[in-house]
Amino acid sequence: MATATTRKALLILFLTALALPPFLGVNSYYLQVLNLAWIAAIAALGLNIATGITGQVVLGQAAMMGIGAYATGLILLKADLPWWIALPFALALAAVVGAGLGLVSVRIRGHYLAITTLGLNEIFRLVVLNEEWLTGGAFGLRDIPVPSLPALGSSTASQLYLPLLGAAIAVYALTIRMYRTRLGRDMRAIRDDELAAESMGVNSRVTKVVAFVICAVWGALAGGLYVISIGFVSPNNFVVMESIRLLLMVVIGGLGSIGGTFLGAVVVTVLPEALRDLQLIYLAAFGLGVVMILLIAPRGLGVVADWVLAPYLPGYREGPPAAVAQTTGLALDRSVAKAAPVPAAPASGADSMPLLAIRDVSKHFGGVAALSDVSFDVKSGEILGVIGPNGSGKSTMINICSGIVPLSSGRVELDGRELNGRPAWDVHALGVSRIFQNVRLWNSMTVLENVMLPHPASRRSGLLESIVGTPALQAKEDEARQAALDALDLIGIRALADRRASDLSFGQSRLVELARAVVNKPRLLLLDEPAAGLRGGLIMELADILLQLRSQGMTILVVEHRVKLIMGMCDRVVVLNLGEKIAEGRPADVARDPVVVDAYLGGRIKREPRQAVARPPLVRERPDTRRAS
Amino acid sequence: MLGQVIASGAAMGAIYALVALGYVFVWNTMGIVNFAAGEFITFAAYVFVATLVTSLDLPFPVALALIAFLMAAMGATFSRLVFSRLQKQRALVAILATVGFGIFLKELAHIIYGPEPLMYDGPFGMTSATVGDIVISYQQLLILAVVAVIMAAQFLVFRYTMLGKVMRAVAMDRETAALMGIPVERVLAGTFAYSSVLAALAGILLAPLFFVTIEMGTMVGLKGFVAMIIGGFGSVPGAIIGGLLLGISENVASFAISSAYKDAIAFALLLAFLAFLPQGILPERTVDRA
Amino acid sequence: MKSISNVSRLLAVSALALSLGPVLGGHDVHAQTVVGASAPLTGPRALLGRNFKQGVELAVEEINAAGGVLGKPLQVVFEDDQGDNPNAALNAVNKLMQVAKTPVILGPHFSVAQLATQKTYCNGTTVSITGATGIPVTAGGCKFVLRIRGNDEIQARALVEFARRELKTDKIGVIAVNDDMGRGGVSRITSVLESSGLKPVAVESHNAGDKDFSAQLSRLKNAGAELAIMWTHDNEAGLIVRQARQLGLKMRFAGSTSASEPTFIKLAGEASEGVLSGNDFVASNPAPHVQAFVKKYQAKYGTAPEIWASTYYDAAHLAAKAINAAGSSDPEKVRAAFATLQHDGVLASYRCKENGDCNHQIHIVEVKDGQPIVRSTVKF
Repeated sequence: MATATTRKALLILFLTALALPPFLGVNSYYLQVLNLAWIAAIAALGLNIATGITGQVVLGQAAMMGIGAYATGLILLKADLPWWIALPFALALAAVVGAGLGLVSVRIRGHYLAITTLGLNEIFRLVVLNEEWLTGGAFGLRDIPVPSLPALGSSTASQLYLPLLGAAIAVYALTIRMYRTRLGRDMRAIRDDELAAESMGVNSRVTKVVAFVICAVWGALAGGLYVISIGFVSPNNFVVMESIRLLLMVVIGGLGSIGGTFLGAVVVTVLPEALRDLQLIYLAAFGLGVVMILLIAPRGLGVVADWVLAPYLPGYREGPPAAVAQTTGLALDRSVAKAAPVPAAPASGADSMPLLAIRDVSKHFGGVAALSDVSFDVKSGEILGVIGPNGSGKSTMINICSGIVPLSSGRVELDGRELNGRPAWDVHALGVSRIFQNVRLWNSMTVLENVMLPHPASRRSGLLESIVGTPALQAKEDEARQAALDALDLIGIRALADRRASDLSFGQSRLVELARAVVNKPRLLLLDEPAAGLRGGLIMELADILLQLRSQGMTILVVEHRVKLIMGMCDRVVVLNLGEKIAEGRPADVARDPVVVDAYLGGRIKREPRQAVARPPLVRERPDTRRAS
Repeated sequence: MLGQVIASGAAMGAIYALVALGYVFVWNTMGIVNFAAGEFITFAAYVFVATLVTSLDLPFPVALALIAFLMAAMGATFSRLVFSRLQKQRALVAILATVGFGIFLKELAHIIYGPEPLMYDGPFGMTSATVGDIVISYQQLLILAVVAVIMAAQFLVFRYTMLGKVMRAVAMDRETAALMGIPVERVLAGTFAYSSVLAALAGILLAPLFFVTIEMGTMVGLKGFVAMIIGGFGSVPGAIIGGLLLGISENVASFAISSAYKDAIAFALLLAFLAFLPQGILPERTVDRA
Repeated sequence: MKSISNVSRLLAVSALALSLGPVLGGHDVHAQTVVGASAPLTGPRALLGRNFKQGVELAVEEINAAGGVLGKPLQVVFEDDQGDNPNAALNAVNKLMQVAKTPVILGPHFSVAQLATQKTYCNGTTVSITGATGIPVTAGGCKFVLRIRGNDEIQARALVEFARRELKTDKIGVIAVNDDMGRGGVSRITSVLESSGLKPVAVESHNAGDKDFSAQLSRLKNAGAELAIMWTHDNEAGLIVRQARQLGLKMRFAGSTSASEPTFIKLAGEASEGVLSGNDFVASNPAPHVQAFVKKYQAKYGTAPEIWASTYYDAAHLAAKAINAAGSSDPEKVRAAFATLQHDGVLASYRCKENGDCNHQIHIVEVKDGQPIVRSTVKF
């Protein structure tokens, strides 16, 4: 297990090796090829940010390069301005285009986004090709002035080598910075599970727009640098095949791996030049390579790069790995939490302003009524249980309260404020947190990152300070990290902090989700079947934890099946059946209510004739292209 | 002249419809979009024209049967090796993997068969029929006829045969189908094989019109996907309607507005649909799958 | 996981090592005179690249049989530029210039590839002999490029004037491919017509690789075109005339060099009959030195030569002649030799002007019975 110092030394060695060739008198042909590799690396990184890190398919990155190249070239040629004015203008233009594309990506997802970006690439190429009066048409823009830096070498290639390499390194360093902080976490959360991300406070719209802006700006930067160093650009530089080449680099480098993209760019650019005799088979080999990498070794070349860059990436810890939790049960370490005695429930009715007011809420899916005129309150500081047979609308109720599903009619108010119509992240910001019926953690991130994400300090970090890395940002990161560790302590799973979320057992991930839900000290905690999949002893631990949270002022709404848990923990219970509320009150009372018994067991009690309500649709297992591709 | 443009557009649209059908079947059963569909067309055309007809000099019906068999076998194999593994992955991964696979197939054809475009006269050569003002080549009529026959055959098979029921069951709910004793893996491989045969058919029908080149199927493949979106993602009748609509509008717009932007028109149409009617003309939910 | 990690490590390191390592297998410039060639060996134009290579290799045989260049055998080093891909052209030309250090490069052929690479080679380190026809290739002030085919202006003017005289029509439509070659042709044809006070009745375009031209043909018909000039590649030209025939259209067709190429004639079949074009080379040209070339090429390769083979056959001969005349492979001297050089190639009698244009004539060709026949030769 090499230490951080070893890896940093390796990195420095690598970068130095890359910087050497002009000084070793390497032939300018090779320098030129490497220059093209550095430029491609920048464009490919932009693509990786949108596709690999944020999970949005972009098949048209070459058009971004084209925008940068043509904008820079036109300003240099026609307006006769120097490159350090032309390039920023081009980047600004690209940012606008990227923002537009980001907004498009909010509505158009998955396969639709893929073919749309491909179509836009083709449209861009056709416009550039046909509008000769502006772009020079098929013959392209030529005689663009190329800067000359005689101090750095004798040929253009050697003069521009270090600046281009430096630009690439700077871009990569900035990106790594962003990756470790709030923006990177938010992007990865969207990629891994967009629904959970939104529920935990990530504004997916803004994040996607930002991702696309960065993708466009890095792409345009590459295009601008290309035009500045070659002095020529034509529509043939931006055909769809070039977009595919950039995609090959990203996949071969491992989707989502920053360092891997760099290696991928070098391999895809340099290898065909180094082994020119095998020209015919390159594309076939790359195509097949993509398939095999995605199926067998998805981390691609990133395996090497991430290992070297590990000290700079999140989730790195020196020393031997933390002690692994026992295999039987979890033996939660709750010594910290157990110090305080379990308090009694607060006097009910003392301060009767309800925290959450649900009034006549109905929800229809097509012709099916999942909820019909349900009304109840959740009082501040209480634990309210919501029970009912399968299909009664419990999960729908939670989804409405957390903002991921809009209601059809009625009102949901948190402290007097209407929740309906707000996106899930706004609901989260108002102090509502939740866990999901089937655990939704962000599998590529560590437990610590999962829990850090919803914390206010993390949510408040800005983009610019994330990039620059101000002390203020560092303070926020530290605060969020500490709060996350505290939350993990509370639940008793601090030892899991550095484990990857995908490496956890079901029980462990359930608890991590709980820690994630409480790290921001929400006022209202919504739990959707928290005990599902847990074993007996753990369930009681869970009840303990929830009582502890209640004593700290949290209001909890629990949807559950297990009667024992409800009885042991809840102050009041609401019973739903077939979308309607059929009972409400203290657990013992509700348990004896004949209507409730009848609902669960079916039976003999006469009821007023009601219109038969069809069961709500079963959740489809097939991927839904419209929602969460 | 507009009638002529529409007729030619319809013939091209029939090809898009055929390709779109392939997408629909793979999507409905496996939940992935096979972005290599265009390259399947190219590869099939190469094998048919270069190997079966030219090198081996087989008569047309024999070559037809053989290519259908070969492509079915190839489809089933690739389904087991590659595509079944993609089903569990995110859409992103499936898209990238099928794109990569398409590149591999295309370049493989290039390596095996070389750079020359292949000529294939087909059964009709350059002959054409005249209906009033409109001239339509027999090859184009053949394309329309084939697509019509396939539509009818599919309808009958899905409605009235056990095979059709089995396929529909697997598409609707795979777990239950497995529990009911249906050999799901084989059905999936078979569905993929069928969509590969559709690709082969498209390639053979196109070869006399287009000449067989490496780029032959790529744009057709992409437009077939656009046709599926326009017609309704995953909808069989939608594929036909979307294909015809795309072929005709593309040609008419190219005639009426500008031929320089013809390919752009197809994508512009896509964007318009995504903006205003994203579920397509015949959205899958409200339409009987047969 | 470890083994995959190791393999990945190995791959990454080898890729980098290969990129930074010295070139393997240099060329011994003492034993041979080396000339470079940048041709589309792979990619969509690979067929043309193959013809390029064959023409050059035939020329090399003849040159070496006659004593070689500067008393040493001539060797031509080929690099793949993939046709009209600017990056590939840059890399190919760079490699030839910096690694093989060739004083003369045959090609790159496509105008866009020339424009992309001129910034690199026009500094006097190498001379490029090309068949590119785009006007900007020699209009950009590059002193080291030599064009050995009739440029777009010559081709367009000769064709339009001949067609107007022959067909007695002024209703001329244009259909061109959307790339450097097609757009160059359109602008030349339009300006030639304008100089006679005319305008094309319609200008249609299509993408390279397009297959269905019903829309463009319908528009040409609607506009009343009696003559349609196609400025496009062999495949597309073949399809255009075929589809026009299928649609029963009556207009005559004329075209760029592609309309007399063997691929076009083969693909168009009967529809190629009567199509006019301008071409620098036709295998049926009865001139004795052309026929001698055709025979030798046919004997060696089994097919008749076409424009690419013949252009670069001439290019190789010109290179050899110029280097011998200069007495050295210094690029400046070689370029100076071109200024006074006179050579009767299979394309034309070459006389190079200052801007690099060396070929000032074009044949007008008509396809008769599946054969391209020279109707007249226009000299400017």
